[in-house]
Amino acid sequence: MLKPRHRHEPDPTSFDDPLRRYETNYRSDLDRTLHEDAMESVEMMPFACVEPNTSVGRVIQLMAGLDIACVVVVRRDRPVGILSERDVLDRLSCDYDLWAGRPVSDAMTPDPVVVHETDSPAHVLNVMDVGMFRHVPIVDADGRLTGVIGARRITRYLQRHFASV
Amino acid sequence: MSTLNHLMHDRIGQLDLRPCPTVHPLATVDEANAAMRHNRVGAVIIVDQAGKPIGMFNEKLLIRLLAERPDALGEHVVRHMARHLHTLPLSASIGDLLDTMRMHSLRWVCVVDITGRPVALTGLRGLITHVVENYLPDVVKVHPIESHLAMAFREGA
Repeated sequence: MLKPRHRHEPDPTSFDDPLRRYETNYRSDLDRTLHEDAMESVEMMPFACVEPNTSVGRVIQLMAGLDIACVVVVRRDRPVGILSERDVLDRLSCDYDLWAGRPVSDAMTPDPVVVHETDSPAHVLNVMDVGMFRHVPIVDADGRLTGVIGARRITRYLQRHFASV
Repeated sequence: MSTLNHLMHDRIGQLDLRPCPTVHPLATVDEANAAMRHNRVGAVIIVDQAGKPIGMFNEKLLIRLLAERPDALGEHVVRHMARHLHTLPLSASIGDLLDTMRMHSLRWVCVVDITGRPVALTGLRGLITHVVENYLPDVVKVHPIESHLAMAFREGA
C-alpha cells in the first residue's frame, strides 16, 4: 500500500527563481539601451522602393533626385534586391550606357539581408558591422518592407538618446 | 562620465580608418572611380602638386553625374569634385567627427596629418565597428568574412 504524500508549502524565502540567471547584466546605460530598444524607436530614413522591371537609368535618377544612397527592389512589398551607391560604382559606372536601359533586377544585389522592426539596435549594429553594410532594409513580421536603416540614423539616435546624459 | 561621453572622447585614430586614395586634378572621373574601386572606399581626395587636399569626389557625386550627364565620365575630376573639403586631424575626437559630419551632411571625412596631407578616410561605418567592438561586449559576434568576399558578395548597401 502506498503511503499518502505530505505536501509542504514552499518557503518563499528559499525560492530560487530559475529565470533570474537569465537576466542580463548590462555594463552601461548605452549597452542596455542598444539591447532593449527596438528598431521601431529609431527614426528610419526616407527610402525608396522600385519594381524589378524599373530601368537602371530611372533608379539612378531616383537616387540622385531624392539624395538617397540605395533603393530597395520589392515584389509585392517584399524586398527582393537592393541597389546601392557602391553597386553603381563597382558594377555600373564602367559601362553605364549599356546598363541604363536594362532592368534593375539585372544590376541589383538579390536577396538582401534584412532586419525586423522588433530587432534591437545592437543586433542591427552587429549586422552592419559583420556584413559591412551601410544600409539595411527593415521588414515587419510578414516580411513587408517598412523602412531602411543606415549608419547615420543609428548615430543620430545615439546622440539624441543620450543628449541629456 | 557616461558611456556616450567616453565614446565621444575617443580619438579618430582609434577608429578602423580606411585607405585614402588620391588623384591629381586633371585625372578623369573614370580614373577617380577606378581609384575608389581599387581601394574599396566611397570617396577619393583630389590633391595639388604639393599633396595638399583641394577637393573630394565620392559615390554621391558619381550618382548625380550619371543622372545628369553620363557622358561626363571622361572629363577632368576637378570640374565635378566637391570643393569644400572638411578635414580633421588624427587627434580629433569622435565627437568632433560626428559634429562635422552632421553639420555639413558628410558621408566621408578626410583625416590629415600634422602637415595637412591626407592619411585616411573615415565615415560612419568605422564608427559602427568601433561601437560594436568596444561598447557592445555582449553582442554575439560572427566571425567577419574576408573583406574582399564581403564586397564581392555583399547583400546590403
